Amino acid sequence: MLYCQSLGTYNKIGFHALRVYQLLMTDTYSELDGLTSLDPIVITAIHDRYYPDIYRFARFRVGDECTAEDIAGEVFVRLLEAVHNSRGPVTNLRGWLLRTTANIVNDHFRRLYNRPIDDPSEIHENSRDLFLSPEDPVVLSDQAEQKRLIRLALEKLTDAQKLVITLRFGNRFSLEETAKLMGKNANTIKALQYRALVSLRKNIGSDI
Amino acid sequence: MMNSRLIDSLEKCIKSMEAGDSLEDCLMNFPEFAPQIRELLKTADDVKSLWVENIPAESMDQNRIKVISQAMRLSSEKVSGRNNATFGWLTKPVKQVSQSLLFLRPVAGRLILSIGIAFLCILFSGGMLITSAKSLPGDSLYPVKRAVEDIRVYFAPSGEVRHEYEDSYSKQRVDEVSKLLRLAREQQISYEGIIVSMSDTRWIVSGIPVALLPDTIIISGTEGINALEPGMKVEIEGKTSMDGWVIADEIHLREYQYIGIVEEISARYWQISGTTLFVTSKTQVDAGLQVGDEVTILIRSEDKGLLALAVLREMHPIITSTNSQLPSITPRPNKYSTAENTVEFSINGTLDEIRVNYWIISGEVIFLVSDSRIDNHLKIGDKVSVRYFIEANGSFTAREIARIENSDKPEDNDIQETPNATGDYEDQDDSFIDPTEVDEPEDNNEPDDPEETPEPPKDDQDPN
Repeated sequence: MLYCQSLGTYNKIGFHALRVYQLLMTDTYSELDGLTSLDPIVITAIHDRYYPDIYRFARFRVGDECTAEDIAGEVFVRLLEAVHNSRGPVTNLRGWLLRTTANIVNDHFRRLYNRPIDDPSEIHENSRDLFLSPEDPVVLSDQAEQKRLIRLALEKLTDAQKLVITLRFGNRFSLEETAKLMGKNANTIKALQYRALVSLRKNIGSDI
Repeated sequence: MMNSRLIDSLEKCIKSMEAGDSLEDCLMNFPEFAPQIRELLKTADDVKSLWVENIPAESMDQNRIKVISQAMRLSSEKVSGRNNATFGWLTKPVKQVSQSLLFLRPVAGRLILSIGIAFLCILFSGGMLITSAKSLPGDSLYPVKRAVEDIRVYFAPSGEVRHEYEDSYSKQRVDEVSKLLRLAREQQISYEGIIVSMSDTRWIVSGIPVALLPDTIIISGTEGINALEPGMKVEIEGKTSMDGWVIADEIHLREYQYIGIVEEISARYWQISGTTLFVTSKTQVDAGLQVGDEVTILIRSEDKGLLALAVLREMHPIITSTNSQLPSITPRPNKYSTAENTVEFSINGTLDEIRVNYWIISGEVIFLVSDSRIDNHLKIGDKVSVRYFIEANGSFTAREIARIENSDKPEDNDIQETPNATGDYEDQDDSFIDPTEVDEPEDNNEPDDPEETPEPPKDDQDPN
């Protein structure tokens, strides 16, 4: 129900919502145009469209929920700064965002490995699950350990292999989408995926 | 050597498993590669266990707010840069001229520049003068405004009028800083004001909250910060911050008084208790003072030294500007608010805007602090109920913001104020900041150590 006092506000909000909806329906070039002008509506639409991909990518690699949130936030900060300095993406926004995410994740692990005291292999799974889940803590703990070992094995892959595995299994992108995001052809991605899985199998086996 | 058929078969199996087929069903289609593919698909299954389905909505909402704030800040910087470019044709030559005048005495150079600008202003009619009068520090026309002020002070018909001008311009500096804070603009500023209150790191100077950092320089004579007390006039040099504070770089004690013994008297300076003070024709000096007399001196600290405003035989009452009425405190967001505020109010209204440190609810600005409890997933347009308290500076701080589940009630748009148990209503009508003036919210996004992070990819190139 609308009342006189809030009618203007409601219409304004409705108009914004319509614009966001329209934007979500249009292609990436409209996003890039709006991004360049730092239009808050476009930024909102871009954020809401790509945040899940970025978060999933980061969470797949680092495991910890808070770290993944921080990384996702940092990606958008870098996007805005890059746009502000006229160094932003030109054609493929999603690709730019995910590659930036990959870079920040790599930085994260570099810092983790350079830390003098901690064990470098200590890639923490989200420990909150152990306390909040109704499931058996022992089972959860085993699952967390298993995930930790998989991530450890994942970090031993080459950067390209890590990217393929993360995009394919962490973000559930198709082969074609992954190829487009990485700027390679589908056959190359297939080969990279094969090699990555072979290496992972070996690494997981040796770690376990 | 990799077998391309094996690679293709693996991909087909991955796809069909994603479509819901079982592992064994997939392998039946590729019996010659079954053993290898089985192992790889199991590995792929292990890796898939790392996938997360749920995106934390709360952190996504928070991040969206941060991102939009950052975008608005950058956008305003862009506009400001464009304005500078627009007036570049004017500011650049002015800067060059002012630099070329540096070899002259500062006052003379500034005066010549002022006269030059005044001449140009006469040529270009009064439009620029009117426009520049509204400018703020950092604006292109602000130097014009200051130059015009200098001219008016210089050509003041009498000393009394000159003092009036100086007082008026000093108040304008305070107003300018207040406006910058309301606009959440970061800008280097300098103003003179009266210390209203002092704590270790937070002062109120002429109604403006000033934050002192460990490296803030305090220039106040030999006694250091101990010489300062409420009522004294100080000059604050620092920077306005987006969260409504002036971050002080330097604090100069401008006017103060002390009692001493006259040790030496000359035409240009007096020595009183080891301190050399300059005197001018405007210095008020009691008649008949001699070496050895005990005097009260009112001092103004100038860049060139200490200027005696008055040298009075001890026991004279001194009336100085430092005794002026304390200014009122401008309402500001109080990020340091505590739970001491026990008087609680509530309103129901529509969520109009979501900003970083405040929300606008049915036109009212409600500040948020770390203790504020907020329902998840609130969005613009929601009907909400707010419990809040009134800060000492008059601003409203939320204790709790909750969604009103049945938002179809007709009274939702009417702000309903609920007094506390004693039935008190605080006078709040004038204490809100005009929301139209608060355009640029706080920016909390500071990237991590930039040295440790590589550049983002150039554009669409593979980062590897």
